[in-house]
Amino acid sequence: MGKKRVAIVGTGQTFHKSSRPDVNGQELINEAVQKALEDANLTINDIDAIVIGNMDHFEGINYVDCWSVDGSGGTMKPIFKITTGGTTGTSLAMGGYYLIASGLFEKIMIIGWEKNSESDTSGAIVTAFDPVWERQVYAGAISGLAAEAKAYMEKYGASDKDGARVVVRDRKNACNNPHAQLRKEVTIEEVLNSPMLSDPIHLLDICPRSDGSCAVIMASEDVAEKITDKLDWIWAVSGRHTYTFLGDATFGHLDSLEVISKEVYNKVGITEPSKQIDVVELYQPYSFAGIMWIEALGITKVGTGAEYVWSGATDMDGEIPFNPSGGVIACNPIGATGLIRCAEIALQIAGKAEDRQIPDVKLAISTGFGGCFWSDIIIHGKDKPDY
Amino acid sequence: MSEQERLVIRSGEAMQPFNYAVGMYGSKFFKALIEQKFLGTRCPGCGKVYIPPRRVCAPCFKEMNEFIEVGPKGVIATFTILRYAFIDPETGEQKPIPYGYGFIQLDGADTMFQHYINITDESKLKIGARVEPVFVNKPKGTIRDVQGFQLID
Amino acid sequence: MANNSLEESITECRNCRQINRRITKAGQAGSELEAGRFALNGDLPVNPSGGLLSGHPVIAAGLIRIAEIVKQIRGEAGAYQVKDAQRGIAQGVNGRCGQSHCVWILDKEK
Repeated sequence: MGKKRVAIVGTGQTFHKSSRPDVNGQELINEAVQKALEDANLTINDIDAIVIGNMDHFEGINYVDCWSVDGSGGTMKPIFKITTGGTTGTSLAMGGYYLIASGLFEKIMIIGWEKNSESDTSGAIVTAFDPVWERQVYAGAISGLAAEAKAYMEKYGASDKDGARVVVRDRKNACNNPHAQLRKEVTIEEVLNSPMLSDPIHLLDICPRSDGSCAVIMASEDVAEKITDKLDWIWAVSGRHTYTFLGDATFGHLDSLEVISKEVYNKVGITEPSKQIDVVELYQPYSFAGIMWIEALGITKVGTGAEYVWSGATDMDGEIPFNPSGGVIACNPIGATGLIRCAEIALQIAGKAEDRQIPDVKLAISTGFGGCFWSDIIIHGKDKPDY
Repeated sequence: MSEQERLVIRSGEAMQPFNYAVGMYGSKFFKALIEQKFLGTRCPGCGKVYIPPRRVCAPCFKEMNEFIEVGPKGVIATFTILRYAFIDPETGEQKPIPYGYGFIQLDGADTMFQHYINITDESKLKIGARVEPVFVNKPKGTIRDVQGFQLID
Repeated sequence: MANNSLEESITECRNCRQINRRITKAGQAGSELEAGRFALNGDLPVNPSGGLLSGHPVIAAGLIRIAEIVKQIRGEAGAYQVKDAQRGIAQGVNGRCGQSHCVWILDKEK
């Protein structure tokens, strides 16, 4: 355990869109930062350090830490850049948490952002893969996920209808979230009739590309309670990276998420996650992940993911609601996406989630996922942890 | 000036070339590939056979020095069929759709080999199907000396 | 860290074409350099490893400065060992105009 306990005291997000030509990157960042400061009732002078990140190469701007200072408020402050692919957002949250938990910092502004509309992000994603061994025989991010879904379907008999059920849930939830990009419900038929991109992934199964930013302010227990009484305490965090080449991965079961869930559940004392956890914001870049990765989270037994989702257990009024925000399928400014999962849970815990609020949230989870099957997890709690 | 021009600055088409060293392990692999052979490396700790071959077994963190021939035939471990146009990073052109892509469990290897899969009859493309590599006529010492994998009848 | 430049027995600087002002008074760096103050056997050795002008793997460079100070403090620097090195500074810089700096002080004593 760290030297200090840490809580989220404020969050801010933009209204995410497919394209924001009205702002440049720094201005986009600034919108979220100002909202977070307002939410926490703090000024930028109260902030000790900045932790910032976006996807490597996506905007083609290096030294984001320096370049973004008028947006981030980082002038003459220490700034840490963290970028870890899809997990960037959650790695940012964990980075901020570790800095405060160390006892060396008191109040940190954590920022994730992305302006996908400014570049060829498919081209940029290719740079995540090995230039000698993989790039020349690579088929896009979607194909790797499709291969994962196919392996699972073969083993457990799932079908694309199961993926579609997840989409229907999340797109419906997104209608309650003014920040989500896609706010229109879809039906199972519409999903299955949408163009097939890469078997079994249809167009409506996969996340969009969004422009957006998110800011989260974390504070040490020494000051958090003086800042606000609507706190979200960080109980545990964990992450596991894995990957040399895509062909090394286990397709059909997210090993990294299983390992870290067990670790944090053990730390916090969770033995029956589906009963003890009140809500989950899952980093779910495509529908089938909502079937497969809930098994890795220990919510339901391996092979029963589809059945569990169809039962309604993950709907807003179910036993363990997933993605009340609409999740990644409704909105995806990648560098911010993981941080948005964290911010959405902070809103749930603090009772600030408006139309998407789940009642009585005491313990909740946000997760992060990165391209080649690596994962992060954060457990949030309403009460101050006693360790 | 139109609204569009005022708001967006284009970066231009300049290329940024790189020259990546393949190293000793890569060199051995690609020389063997020109001979239509696949080489993997075996970990002295866990015994796992890795393809592509590499210097270090990541989980054991041990250096590997033993090269083992694997394949050339194998089994489809998992795959997908691409139905939307994706820009081929090698040629910059759109690959003709539909095309197969997946991970081959080569005989004797413990990791899977990423590559394209040739489709003649979609209904025969299944997880578990046996496949063999198709080599190009003029190998250059790159992963594309294998054009793809095809089903063995 | 105060202005007590003489207490720092060694310094490893990135891009140290210009000696840090706290090590010496403004305008005096050049003459002090010529007088041998910053040489290996001088008062305040700077870049005993040869620094970046002798080799520059860009992103590793800052961490290498730290590693070089560690070697000096441990007495493992061989032919470029500064005698009795007790405390050192490692400094890193980023940005074309030096927009970002990071400074480490390492000491033999806990």
